[in-house]
Amino acid sequence: MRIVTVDHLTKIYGHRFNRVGALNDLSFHIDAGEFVGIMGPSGAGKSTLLNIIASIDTPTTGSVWVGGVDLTQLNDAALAKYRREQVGFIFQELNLLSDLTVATNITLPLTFVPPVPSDIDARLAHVADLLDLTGLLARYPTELSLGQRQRVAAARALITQPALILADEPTGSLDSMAATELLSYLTKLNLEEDRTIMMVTHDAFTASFCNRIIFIRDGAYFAEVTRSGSRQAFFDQIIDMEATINGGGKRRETPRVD
Amino acid sequence: MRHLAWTNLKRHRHSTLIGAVAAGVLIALAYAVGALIDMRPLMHATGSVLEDSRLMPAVMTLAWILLLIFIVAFLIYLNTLLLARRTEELDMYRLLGMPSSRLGGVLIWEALMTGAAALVIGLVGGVLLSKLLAMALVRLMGFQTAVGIQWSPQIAGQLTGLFLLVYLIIGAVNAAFIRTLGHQRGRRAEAQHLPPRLSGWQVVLACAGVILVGWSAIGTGNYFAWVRPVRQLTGLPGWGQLGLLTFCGIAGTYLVFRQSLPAAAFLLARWRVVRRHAKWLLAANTLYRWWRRDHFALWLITLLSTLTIAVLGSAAMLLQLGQREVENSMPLPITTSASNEALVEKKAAGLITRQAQVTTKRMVGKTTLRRQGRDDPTTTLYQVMRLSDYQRIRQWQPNLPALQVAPGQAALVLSDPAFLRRGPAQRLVNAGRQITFPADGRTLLISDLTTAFPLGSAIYFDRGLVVADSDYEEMKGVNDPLAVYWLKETAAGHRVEQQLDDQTQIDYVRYDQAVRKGDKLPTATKDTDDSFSRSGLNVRRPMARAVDTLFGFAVFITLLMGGAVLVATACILLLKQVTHAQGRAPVRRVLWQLGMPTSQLTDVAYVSTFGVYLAPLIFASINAFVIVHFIASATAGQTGGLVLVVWAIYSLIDLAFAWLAAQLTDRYG
Repeated sequence: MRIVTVDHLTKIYGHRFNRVGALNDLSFHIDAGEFVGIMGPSGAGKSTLLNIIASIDTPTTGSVWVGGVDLTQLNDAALAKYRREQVGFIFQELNLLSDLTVATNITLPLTFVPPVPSDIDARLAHVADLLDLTGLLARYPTELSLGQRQRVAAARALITQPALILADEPTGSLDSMAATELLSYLTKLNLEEDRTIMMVTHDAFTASFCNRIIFIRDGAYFAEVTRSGSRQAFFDQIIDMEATINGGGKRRETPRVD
Repeated sequence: MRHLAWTNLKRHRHSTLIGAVAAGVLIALAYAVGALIDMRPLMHATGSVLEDSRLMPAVMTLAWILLLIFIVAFLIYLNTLLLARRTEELDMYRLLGMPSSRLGGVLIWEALMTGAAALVIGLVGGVLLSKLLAMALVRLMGFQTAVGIQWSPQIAGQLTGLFLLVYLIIGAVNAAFIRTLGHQRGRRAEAQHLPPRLSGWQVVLACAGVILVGWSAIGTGNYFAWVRPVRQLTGLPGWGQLGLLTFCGIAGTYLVFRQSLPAAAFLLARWRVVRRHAKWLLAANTLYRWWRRDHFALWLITLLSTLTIAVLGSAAMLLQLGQREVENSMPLPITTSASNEALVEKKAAGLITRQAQVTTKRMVGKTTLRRQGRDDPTTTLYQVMRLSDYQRIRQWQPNLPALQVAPGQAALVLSDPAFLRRGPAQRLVNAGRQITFPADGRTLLISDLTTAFPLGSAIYFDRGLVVADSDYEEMKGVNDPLAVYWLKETAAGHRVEQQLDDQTQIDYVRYDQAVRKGDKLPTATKDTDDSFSRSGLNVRRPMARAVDTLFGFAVFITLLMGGAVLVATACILLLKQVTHAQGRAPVRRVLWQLGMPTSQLTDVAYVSTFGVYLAPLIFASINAFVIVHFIASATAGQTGGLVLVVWAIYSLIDLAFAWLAAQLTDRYG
């Protein structure tokens, strides 16, 4: 089942005499249950793409369909509902509230609008167990390590049981051990919970945990690689594609979106 | 340096603008008051009513100096506030290698530019405000003088010089401050990320704060009833008790803002029901943070607001008291004793529209009345009146109560309302007591008591007595006929009233040992140590006008000072809210990104902002009502309608600022 469809998406910042194109006629799609990575050089438009899919930003032209709904047609209230219920966003900067405990940070999105789900405590226990946070629930974010905080951010994204999890450079500020740990959890989420994950990264090692990598350059679709064998083989494929992009390789055909 | 200073001011345009406008409003007020002192015709007119032409300019000058001191203190505090918000930015300039002398120069330029803007706003606003203020003063004092816009180059020059100097000093102090930035760096970073905590000691102090405030309020409210028993119990004199209550009130209020309110917000945020509603949870957390961080400022604002509401409320109460005093002492146009009738009839010949005679008798009486829980035996002079005459006077003086006096009974008229206390079943405590007259040995039963003197208290030596007509005829006293005159309501009539008021006519009666024993009667005499006196000629209109002028002026001064404090405190809170909101903007963005509806984000901004404004207002209102009640008890005033109106106006203005702050918080947060 197709969950995300990006259709001829263009995003231009600035106006009249100072226009910068972040996305340029980008089209692709993601199916339910996929773990997709978005890669590309700095300034390729990766984060802009993720922000538009998360409805934090709006496209200049084109459209984004998530779960069969065109985001560009939704009003503010409907977009807030969409962010609250259908998407879980793991921010690069974590964005945890320092004056709330870990438990309250995680359950916060469920308490925005009544009625609060009756199984809120069960959900909290489940995600805490999944991400190994059970012993940390009463602590404050400032009392945790960076890796633990990143897991809290992941738990907060997960507790609403969203159809789509978006992660913007989730390992950007982590050391390799903490990064591997977090990626293992995301893989577990994808495999055991059957969550669709879309992750922006510039790191080949991080990307190797995905099933499919979409490469974009200068805001446009460049290529994609799909994992078919071992993670090592997939990693090598990613490195090759990165070398092609950075070496100025030719752009491939944009896949047909239907 | 100037360019960088200008860039910095633009970067902090919201706080700069609020600071400059607040300073401008206060400078405008200072200019307008200064210009009023320069308004010679107005000062001359007040001098003619108050019989001392120097009184009003002197009081106004004193108020002006106090206002200037307050404004300077406010500017220094405001500067501390703004600088505290910029320490990271200034620290960064230093870390990047900018010499402290150059950075200091930038800060001096910034201060001078802000000062110049505040002065422009202040002087332009002040010129416009001067007419408004003069009109308010003229209206409050009941004058007909025409007033216009006042341009006073002298006052403008003085204020420009003063405030440029103040801003220059502020800039120099800021320049000196940046040298200490390096020492504060570690402590600041540490303080920013402390999670909310509530220790056992904090709970104890939080409870202590509430108890102290409550005890201070209850103790002050019942001060006059409890002062004697407490003195007997502890040996602490009255002033000591009052000092202790005041200290407890001030210290308790500090603890409330330092511990009790943050503790309440902390516990609220941990309450399961609140935790399940993000809107209330975030509001409680924001309040915890703001109350914790700004406890000193909020405490200071509460004290200033208490003072302002109490002074405004007391002024309103005293104005009511003054008007009631005139109503009580001179309810009729002209009242006179027999010795002054000829004078009135001569001066007011052709202007008298109506005249009435009332006969009274002067007698010495002995009675024991109960006051504040104690029996108080008193021998004093009474002016006795027939009940039929009293009923006749009630037609001219409608505020007199109906009295039930049978033969053998008397209604006592006295000025101290403490004697009118009621016991069970609303019965007067002193009703049923006896009054004895040594001159004829007669004893009457007190059937009723009142503080409303027929013909007004000014024409009495001390107390009055209303008796049945049959008793009056038999009583042995000195006849004391009184007269009432009504003049034509014309300019000539008013002029004659003024002339009569200028005549000082005092009546004296002997009150020596023999009179007190009843061996002699209280006959007229000259001024001696053993004599009672009264004003033998009382004219209502000039007295009422003098009271209106005096109290109108007092109300004007208190309104002026109250307004200045209100603007200053509200602006401090406004500025704090806006800077906090800017600091919390990333959190608000995260919440929006997580899907919190915009309407709920607005609710959080409003709830937390109103929480910050309401806390000082509520505590200041409680404290102020206690103080006004205390003053009312001490002066026999009434904490009635006008005090509530003053409080309501103050609260509405404060809440208007809260609404503005909430709007700005919602917009910039």
